[in-house]
Amino acid sequence: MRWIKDHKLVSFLLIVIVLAVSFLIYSVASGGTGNAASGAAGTVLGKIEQPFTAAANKISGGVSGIFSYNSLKKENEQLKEENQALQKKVTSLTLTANQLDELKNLEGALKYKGKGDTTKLISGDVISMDGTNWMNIFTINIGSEKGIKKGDVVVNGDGLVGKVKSVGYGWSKVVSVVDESSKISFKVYGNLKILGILEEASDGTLTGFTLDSEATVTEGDTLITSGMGRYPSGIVIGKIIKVSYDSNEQLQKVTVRPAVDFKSLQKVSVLI
Amino acid sequence: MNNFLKGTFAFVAAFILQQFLQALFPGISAVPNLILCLTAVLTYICDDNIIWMAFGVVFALIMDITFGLFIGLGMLTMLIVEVCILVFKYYFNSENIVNSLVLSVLVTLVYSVVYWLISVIAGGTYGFLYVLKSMPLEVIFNAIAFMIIYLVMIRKVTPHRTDRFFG
Repeated sequence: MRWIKDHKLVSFLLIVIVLAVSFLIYSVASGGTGNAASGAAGTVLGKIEQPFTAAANKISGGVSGIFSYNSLKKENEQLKEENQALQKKVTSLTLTANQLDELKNLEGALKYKGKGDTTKLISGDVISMDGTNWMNIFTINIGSEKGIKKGDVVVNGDGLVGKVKSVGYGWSKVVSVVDESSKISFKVYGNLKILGILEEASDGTLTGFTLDSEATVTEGDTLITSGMGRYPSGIVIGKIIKVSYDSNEQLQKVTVRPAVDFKSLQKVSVLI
Repeated sequence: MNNFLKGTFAFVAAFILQQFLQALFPGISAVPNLILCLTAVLTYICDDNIIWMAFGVVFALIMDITFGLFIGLGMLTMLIVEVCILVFKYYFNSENIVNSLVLSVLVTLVYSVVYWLISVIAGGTYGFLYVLKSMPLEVIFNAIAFMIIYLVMIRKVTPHRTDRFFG
């Protein structure tokens, strides 16, 4: 104890290093989900932040809408929500009945157990963004009280946002698709026969490959989720910005820029 | 009000204000990291800097819990930045405005680089060049915030220096 009193700075540094490294190791090992204590802290902090963020959102919305009528703003909000639901419907409908049957037969043949139809959308506001300016991790004001679970898919009007990383009462931490490498099975919107997998995130883009290395895909093609795996079908992922052929792996590689502008997110929906 | 209460109030205000600014200007790729700036200024100009360093790491931990990729990442980064500030303080006069400006830039650079490095080790997906792209605006905003806090605080801190005599 005397040594600690005599060497306050060194003691402080050592204690913080031990604590920070322990937290970090635990957090990385648990996949960033945290524990009950961090969950409770998240709930309290979320409640503190929420009114201020809501006020800022109102001011921001008010300033941007100075030249428009209030009614138009309300209508715009409604249309955004409708658009979100319709976009999902439209993309689902573009999958022809035959193709759907084929997919279902394939699912049956492979004894594939997906998450089933995800129909319930719960909307929430973004209450805080990560402090780095280059990552896209944010917290929303809805959580376990609405039935949200870790791994739930998050979307907005533009397309796929990411997934819920951790959840507590009144908050969920969302990690965007470009912040964590995970496999996303895709289809090309213009030609639904072309399938592929996006498997790597890097510098704000996603890279992957088409299953058929001779499939015709071009820059500017829109990709949507195929429905196989974690993500439900028909969600817009983004546009292809680069197509190349990897002769070593004999794969047609695609680089995709996400459709969502992660930095300007204010409202998102969670699929449960 | 004692230092503890003042510090708590200042750091809570910075924490809320930072999120407020982020929500106020959606789409802007950089907002000042007020917790970092406040910690850096107070560690740099105050004599009893351990308390401010402690505030810095605690609020970095709170930021990690609220919206960080991994808990402890920001906390460890903040500690490394604080050590760099102590080294800088040892060699340079803390009442010189040019030194302060240089420190404000260094603090942002060190924080971003260390944060990026640890996040890459933990499985982050961003390359250093991508991080560098967001740096110029971040450096400018942080420097502005740092200098505002510095200019406000230096007047209050200087009369309480313990390393000089007053007639």
